[in-house]
Amino acid sequence: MQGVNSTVKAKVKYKKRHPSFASRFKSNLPLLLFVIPGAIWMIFFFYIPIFANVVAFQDFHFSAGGFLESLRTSSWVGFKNFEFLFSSNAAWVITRNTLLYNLGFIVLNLIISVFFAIVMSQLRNKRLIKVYQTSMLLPYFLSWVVISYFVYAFISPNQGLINSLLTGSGGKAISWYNAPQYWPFILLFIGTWKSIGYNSILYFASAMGVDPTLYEAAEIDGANKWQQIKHVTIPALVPLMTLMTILAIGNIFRADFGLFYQVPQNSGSLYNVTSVLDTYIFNGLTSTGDIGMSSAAALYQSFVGFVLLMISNAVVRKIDPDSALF
Amino acid sequence: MVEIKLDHIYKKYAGNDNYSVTDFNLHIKDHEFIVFVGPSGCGKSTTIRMIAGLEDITDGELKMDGKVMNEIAPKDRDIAMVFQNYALYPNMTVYDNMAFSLKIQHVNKAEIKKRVANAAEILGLEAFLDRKPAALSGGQRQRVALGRAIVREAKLFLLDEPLSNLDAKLRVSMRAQIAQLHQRLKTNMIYVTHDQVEAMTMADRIVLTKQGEIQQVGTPSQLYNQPVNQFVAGFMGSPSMNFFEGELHENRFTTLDQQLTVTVTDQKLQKLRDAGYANQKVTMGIRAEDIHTGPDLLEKMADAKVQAKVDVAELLGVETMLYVTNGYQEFVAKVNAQNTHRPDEIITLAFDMNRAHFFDSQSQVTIA
Amino acid sequence: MRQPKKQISSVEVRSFGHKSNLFFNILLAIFAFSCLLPLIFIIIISLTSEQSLLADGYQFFPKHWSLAGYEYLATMGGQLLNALGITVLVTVFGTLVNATFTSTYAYSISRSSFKYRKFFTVFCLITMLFTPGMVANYIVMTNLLQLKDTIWALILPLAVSPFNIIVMRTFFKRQVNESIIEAARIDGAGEMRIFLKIVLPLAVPGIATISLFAALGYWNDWFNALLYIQDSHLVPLQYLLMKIQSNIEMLTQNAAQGAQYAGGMANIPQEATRMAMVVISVLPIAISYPFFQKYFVKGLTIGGVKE
Ligand SMILES: Nc1ncnc2c1ncn2[C@@H]1O[C@H](COP(=O)(O)OP(=O)(O)OP(=O)(O)O)[C@@H](O)[C@H]1O
Ligand SMILES: [Mg+2]
Repeated sequence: MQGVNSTVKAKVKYKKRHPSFASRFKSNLPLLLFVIPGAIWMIFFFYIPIFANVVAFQDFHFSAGGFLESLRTSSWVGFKNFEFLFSSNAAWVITRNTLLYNLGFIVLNLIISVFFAIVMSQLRNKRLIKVYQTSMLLPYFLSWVVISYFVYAFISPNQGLINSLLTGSGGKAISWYNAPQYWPFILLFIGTWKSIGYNSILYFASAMGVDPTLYEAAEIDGANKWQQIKHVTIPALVPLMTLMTILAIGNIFRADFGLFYQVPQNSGSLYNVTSVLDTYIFNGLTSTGDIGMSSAAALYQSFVGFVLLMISNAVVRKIDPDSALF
Repeated sequence: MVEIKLDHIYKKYAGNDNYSVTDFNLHIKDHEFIVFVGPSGCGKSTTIRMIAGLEDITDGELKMDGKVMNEIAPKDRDIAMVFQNYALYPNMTVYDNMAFSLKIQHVNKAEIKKRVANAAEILGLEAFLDRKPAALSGGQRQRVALGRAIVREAKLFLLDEPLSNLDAKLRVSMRAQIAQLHQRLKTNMIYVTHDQVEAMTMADRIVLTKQGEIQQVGTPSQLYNQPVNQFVAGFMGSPSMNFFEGELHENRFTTLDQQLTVTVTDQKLQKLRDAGYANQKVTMGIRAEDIHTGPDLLEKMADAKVQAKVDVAELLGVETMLYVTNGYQEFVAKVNAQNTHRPDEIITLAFDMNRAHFFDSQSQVTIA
Repeated sequence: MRQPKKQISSVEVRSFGHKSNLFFNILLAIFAFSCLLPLIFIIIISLTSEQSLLADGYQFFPKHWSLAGYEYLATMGGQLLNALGITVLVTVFGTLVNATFTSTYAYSISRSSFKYRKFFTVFCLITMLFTPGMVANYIVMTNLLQLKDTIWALILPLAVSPFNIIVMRTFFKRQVNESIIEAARIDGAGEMRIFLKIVLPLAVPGIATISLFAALGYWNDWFNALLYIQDSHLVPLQYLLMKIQSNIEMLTQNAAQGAQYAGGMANIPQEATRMAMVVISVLPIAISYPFFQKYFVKGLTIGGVKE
């Protein structure tokens, strides 16, 4: 009859014999040790630097006494650095450039890589697809320094291929590194060209994951190729497109430093069209030595980036909770 | 080989407001084959995993041979476990899967070889020793999982629904193999299943649980013939026992809609009266196989005859399963297939009232 | 419990008709070729004689070929070898560290039995929401850790990647069934053995992928050198290339040490040499990544960030 009685006394508590903290800690110790190195890294390369952002509110000077000493001896200036930053013309230019270029990249990348991915998924020659993919990945794996040599080979003012073609056909050589009007196009082209291979493989993998019976069903329903793509392939890619776009929007205030610094060779006469938040911060940090201002710009960058990420995620969550990042 | 005592065991998972196991008491003696059975989510896996040491015990004590085991690591409990999804190491061959635990214990090579060969022979796996699990069928994988447990020569085997991923035929043959294995190894086994047929056929003792609480512990025949409450009565046996809500009037039981009336045997009636249920509401239970249609039996059980309309008749071979309706009450009878019945036919059935059960309508506890 | 891959490439259902197939093949071929072309161009330039380069500029079909660029590189020794050495050292050691730390962290937070799992998952996720920024990192590196002009300045900033941790966590969860780990625990294996013997072999595609990315990151890194390295003995290859791009004379300055070059100072093939260095820096990547591509594509498909 024990079982029956137990219904009655079900919630009666018995003598406690909880596993002790020590034994629990011991059984978790190995896994704890596994996370420790990564956690320490995050402390030094994320959590302390986050805290170090307070220098944006200081007139910061390095002190030989180390980090805390520097913080202690530098005077607090409130929002002065931000005032300086936003009263300068630079703030507008770098914000505009960063946003517009990144918007351009988001749109171009999305359209072109989804297009390539769909095309690849529909090609008949599986071997060739492999070859295309391998070639398209190459730029993605190369450094911006190398890419800048590539660009230089074509547009070097003296030896560049394009100039010699221009002069060869009777035209005038262009001093590319001093001609800002071409650079928005060059930067958009190079930036997209470098990453398209990677992105289209990403979408390709996703497109290949579509259950082939869906195509068969669509075929039987009388859908033509384009209708199949529109109603089967693209809907299957939407979650990934959303994810990638949220991530990109969260990063929209972060420019690819190498592209904007190294490819134009940090040429001063191009600053108006090549200067972005990252290059501005870098130049402030290294050449002009204005730590206050560049840290203000850096904090501005992180803060707005964070807010944008939150907003875009919230919007996506409203529309389609499954596609949201968190 | 080992005596196990579960003493007021409780389990509450973090993030789950309810207790998954409440006040679990059980004493397992040497060389017993214990089967935990119960509906899904009743805490069977939780209990067996606490015995294995894979889950912390929230409250209570687990003892093996008198020693408290609550904080002993799984590997030091001298147990072997077989998982529902086999949990074979995909990157190792069948041989290495079985040898893994022995290698860790630094058993010498010759001995490992001997034990693995022995287990492979018992389970008929000799031909597959060099294969990876991915290249095996479900039944073969399950045997490897058993083999991995056998080579341990552990004191206690824990098997968590080991056969539920196999098809019906294979399940029957593996069931026999496991039973044989138990005979041969003479270890304690705790076997989890939600299939009462498995429990009935394999167990020395069955532990039937519901929502984290033990309902009854006993031999298969105890649970089948003397269920302590309506839940146990309904869970054991297939098809499930028929229950009728009704009232006692003198020596007769009548359903609430007055459509069905049977005479209660003197022995049961005495028990009901002693317990204070004279002229009271009770629930009567009767199994399908205790309802008959044969003319001889109808005659013999003349005071428990019931009219009903046939809804469906399922021919099973020797027997026919009749799904019938009397008033609002539907029930099932398992009758001799010689008497054929058609749907919509009105037939007369007889209840074997010696085998009827009576339960309290509220608490569902068995009265007689 | 790896599931058998579903056959996905039933050619007939999902392919173009023959005409559009040809058209799109040509389109893709053009783009794919455009990705290889610049490298081919650079290789050609590196093999062009200095006179041709001075007379005609960079050409796909130069008048005179020459190996002088590479010959000069061979005699240059010193700085180039040093930079190569630094790059190789940083890449090998850094990749090892990165792959180890990233996968151990990811593994721990993938295990549902790990009591502090939630905390460390969030600890890692937070780092992805916000960026500390270049300035703050710079101050911590130089002022707090005092790592300026040390090799650590090239290794540590890339030693862990939180994003890869999250990707690998999902990967471990999918690839390694919790019950396999439980079986191993009952078999008597400790956490270390479970990780090395059971989990790692199942995670090879994932680990290969993050290692590849880490290796590329280190090999291609010049930014950290730009920020933290002034000591010429610690200059990695990419940073050397970058310095030479803005200042080609560095090559000849360097030649003072390797003065045995047969042609004499005046005839140093600066342009070709520079491009030869680019080729050398690209070669290891160009040769190896096609072999990793298999893992890499696999790693991509399985490495969904979301659960
Ligand atoms: N990790 C967990 N966290 C919270 N609750 C859990 C957890 N595991 C199990 N539970 C809950 O505990 C109860 C018992 O679960 P358990 O797995 O023991 O059931 P079971 O009897 O083995 O069922 P089944 O036959 O379906 O395997 C269930 O209600 C379940 O929801
Ligand atoms: Mg279970």
